[in-house]
Amino acid sequence: MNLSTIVLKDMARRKRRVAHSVLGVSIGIMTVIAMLTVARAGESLLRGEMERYGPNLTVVPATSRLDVELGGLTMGSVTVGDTIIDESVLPRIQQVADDLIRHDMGIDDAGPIAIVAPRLYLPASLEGRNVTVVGVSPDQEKAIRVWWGFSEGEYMDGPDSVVAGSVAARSLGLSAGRTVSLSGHDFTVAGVLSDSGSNDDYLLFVPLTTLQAAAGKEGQVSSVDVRALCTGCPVEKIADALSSNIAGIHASAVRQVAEAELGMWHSMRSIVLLLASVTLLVGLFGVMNSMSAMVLERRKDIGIMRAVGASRRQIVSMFLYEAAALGVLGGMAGYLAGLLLALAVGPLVLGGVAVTPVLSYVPLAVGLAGAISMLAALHPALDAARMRVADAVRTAS
Amino acid sequence: MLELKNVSRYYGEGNARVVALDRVSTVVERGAFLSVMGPSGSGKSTLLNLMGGVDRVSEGEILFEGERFDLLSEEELTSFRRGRLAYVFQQYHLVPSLTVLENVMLPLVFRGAGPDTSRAGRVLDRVGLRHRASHRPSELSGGEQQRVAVARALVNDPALILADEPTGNLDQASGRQVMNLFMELNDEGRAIVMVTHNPDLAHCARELLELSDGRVVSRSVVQKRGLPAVRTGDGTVDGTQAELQAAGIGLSVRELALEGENGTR
Repeated sequence: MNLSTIVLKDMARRKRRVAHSVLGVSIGIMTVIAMLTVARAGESLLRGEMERYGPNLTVVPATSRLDVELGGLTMGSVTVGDTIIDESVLPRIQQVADDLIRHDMGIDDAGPIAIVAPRLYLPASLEGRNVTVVGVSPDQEKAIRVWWGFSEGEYMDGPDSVVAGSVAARSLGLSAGRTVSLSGHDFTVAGVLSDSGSNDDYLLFVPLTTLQAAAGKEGQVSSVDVRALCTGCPVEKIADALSSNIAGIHASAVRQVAEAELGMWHSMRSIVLLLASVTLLVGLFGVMNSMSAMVLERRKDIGIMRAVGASRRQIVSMFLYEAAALGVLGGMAGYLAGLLLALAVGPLVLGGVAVTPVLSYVPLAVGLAGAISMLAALHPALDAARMRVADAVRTAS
Repeated sequence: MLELKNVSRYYGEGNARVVALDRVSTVVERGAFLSVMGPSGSGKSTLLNLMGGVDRVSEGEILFEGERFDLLSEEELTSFRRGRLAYVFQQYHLVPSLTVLENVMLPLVFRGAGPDTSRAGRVLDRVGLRHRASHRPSELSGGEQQRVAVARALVNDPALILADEPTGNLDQASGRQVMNLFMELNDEGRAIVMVTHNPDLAHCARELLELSDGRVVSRSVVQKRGLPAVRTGDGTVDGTQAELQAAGIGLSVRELALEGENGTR
């Protein structure tokens, strides 16, 4: 027998009071756990979306603007550096990106990880109207722009096929199957993209090699989109590495809508966490009240314990043991209740996406509940220890 | 062993000040058995609490074996009391969630001596309750509970036992058992200070200390120490004539003669 067994035996006798205190702790924990569990499911949903949509990086030629002055007068500025990227750097871009991802994510797979999709932008004339034609590597482009849908026709299927953006198709009167002449080369319209709300709506897409040959720009691209096929890829790091290791290019991380959404989600989570903290705080006062009431109720017992030899420190320890035990019970109950709440509410909040239990929240729930209970118990415990034995004994007699 | 010098205890301040004890000086010698008597509010329990170090003097000094324990801090006082002093309360005050054995071990646990079951068992033997070791207090009679409380007091082998109305809640037979136990403990050399309202029980002690309005009125030696006789369940007579008459118990001529021979009051 020791102090903790004395406390546990006493708790077993006062089941109703214990249940009341456990409930107080578990409600706060339930809120936190439910919120965190739903938030985690929401985040993985968003990360999944981020993985599906868009490039993480855009590589463009490294250029700089130089102001031209003459006798104190600014004569304008000139762009210094190439405005194109040599296609020969593409394997190097692939290698740098893959190596960094492998290193950071601990991946052993030897195959390519990042998708490297070059683009060549060229002005062209179509039936007397100026358009921008984009040469793309069909497979890579399709892998990156997974959200592309077609209002008619399909994706490009040969060297002479063209895919039209929705706005371009409407303004130029293009439809699937029609043959058009672009800068002296005939293309067949393979499909028309659905509205995407992006620049793609205004462009015409043709196979890169065809465009390069037609325009005499073999081996040249205007930009390269890179997408790392992993969650939490070191995108900024890859951008820095590409810019510093490969001459003539500048890589920058692209903030996609999904990332902004993720940011919003984080903000939302912070707000809900704040609310959950308030709930926890209320729970803390609840436990404090409960503990204070218990000290009053057990005034007699405390007096007797003191009279039979318990020191003040031992009285405080006993209350803290009790608080820790309440915390463990409240934490586990709160975790289970929070999980059930998340399983019930999560799909409603996340549009049917199932919420999965997060076992690593169990120690968090128990630790948090224990800390809250002990914090709440501290003041009443000190009160109990400070109680004059004679007063308590008088209560007892 | 225990000495109080001009000890006063006040409660409240100013006009609301109540004098519970007023310049009390007294001594409890090793092996003494002192009954403290007096009307309600005379300061009996206050005196006992001061002697036990669970209350603080307002004025005066308390010495235990020459050491001023009224000057000790709360924590020092707690460890000072352990093994020197023990309390027995009127209402037993056992911890209901613990067994009899665990209740007896409680002072050992607080002292840091650990749960010494053999030692607790020995003191339970001493009060005749070894067979009840695994029972809960609620399964015991009042008398048995008080004997457990006495065992709890004894487990740290204190030099002085302080008892506040230890038989106040007991029936006559249980009260007599407890008082017999106290007399035996005293005969073994343990000092006892007992607060009681009952003049008959007070005569189990070796000395009587009478208080009134917080002051010592008298201190006297008990001439004829022992429990008064009563008519017990088996028909034998053991009590004072006046008591038995008050209870409507008639005495035979032979019983009256025996009472005279035994010198009972």
